[in-house]
Amino acid sequence: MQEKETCKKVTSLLGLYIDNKLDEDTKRFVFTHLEYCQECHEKYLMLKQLIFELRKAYNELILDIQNQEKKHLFYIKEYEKFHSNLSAYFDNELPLNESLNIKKYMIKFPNARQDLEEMYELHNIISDCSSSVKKTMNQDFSKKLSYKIQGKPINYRQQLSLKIASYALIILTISLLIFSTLPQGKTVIEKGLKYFKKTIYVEAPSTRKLANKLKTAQHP
Amino acid sequence: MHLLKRSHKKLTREELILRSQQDDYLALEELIKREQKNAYASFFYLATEKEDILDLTQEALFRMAKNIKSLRDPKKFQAWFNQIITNLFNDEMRKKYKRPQQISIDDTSNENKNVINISEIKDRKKLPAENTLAGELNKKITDAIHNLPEPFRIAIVLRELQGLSYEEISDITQTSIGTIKSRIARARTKLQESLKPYLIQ
Ligand SMILES: [Zn+2]
Repeated sequence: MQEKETCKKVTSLLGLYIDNKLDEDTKRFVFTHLEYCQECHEKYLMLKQLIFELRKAYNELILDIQNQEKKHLFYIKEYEKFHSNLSAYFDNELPLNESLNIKKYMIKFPNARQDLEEMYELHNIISDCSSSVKKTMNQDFSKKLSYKIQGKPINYRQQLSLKIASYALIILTISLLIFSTLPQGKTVIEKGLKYFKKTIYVEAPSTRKLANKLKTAQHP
Repeated sequence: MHLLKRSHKKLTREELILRSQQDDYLALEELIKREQKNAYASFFYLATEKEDILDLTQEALFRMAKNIKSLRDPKKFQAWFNQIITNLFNDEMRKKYKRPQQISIDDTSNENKNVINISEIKDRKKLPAENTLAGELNKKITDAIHNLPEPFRIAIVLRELQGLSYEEISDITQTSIGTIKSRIARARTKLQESLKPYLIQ
């Protein structure tokens, strides 16, 4: 009975004994008991083995997890680098060695091509959209701005011809009015009309004849 | 006159630029005619209010035409004209919003300073045929671009619409090439996110 009590006590202390966490007196007590109690000694060996195996397995597991995490992190970092360079690769703005890395990455992970395709797609969408925006622009600034640069008024061409025509008309009416009020006005106007008739209806054909004559003279 | 005009239509942009620089106003007219839709499209995506777009387009074209003689290399016209467009847009934004609010595009860096919050001024513009699928997609992409913070919007417009190189964009926006690279990448990611339902799975 005494013996059994001691065995129970020693068994409960075995874990701490193996880990060397007992004070000197208790340690010595367990040690001396194990010296002569076969049963407890066997228990001790088994527990020691078990703890050793467990620790080993645990450590291996931890190491494995850590490695996997590292590997995973490496993959993430590798992908992030690929992705951040892909845009510049697409624009043909990467140095040669880096664009080789992009190509290698896409060979290693064929799925990564998808990212590049998405970039093409975005580019196509933007260019389609911008060409339809260009179609909605229906103003033409070219004439207006070119005149502005030249310092001409905006409707320069129309205004110029309109101005000349109106000035000519005003001068003509004023001169006619002045002439008609003068005593010799009537005769002057009549003379003028006669001259006008002469040049238009009489002289014009004769000048044409003259011109024809000259022409035939030049090219016999 | 008409003969001259017809001959201008056949000229390349570079030829038109060279002639415009020598006071050939018909060449200048043709150059404006060719560039106006492009400028309009840029402002369409940059500016978030419709009433501004035509005014901005006209002003940019005027600045281009007025300063055409200062462009030394006609080959650099695209970048040069986009510098005018971007500057004009920035001036306009500064006039409008004197105290800019901040907005972030998921991060971190000091990218987000002086960025204007425009999330509440969207949905203003109308595109043709909005009820069709293509129209719906157009509206979606327009809204998505408008919702990007300004520096990102400028970078993506200069890249995707105007086809400028990172170096040219970096010159125009006075930002490092690295920053431009990441702005464009992040703008694309953002746009892809908002277009996810429309993209091929
Ligand atoms: Zn015992």
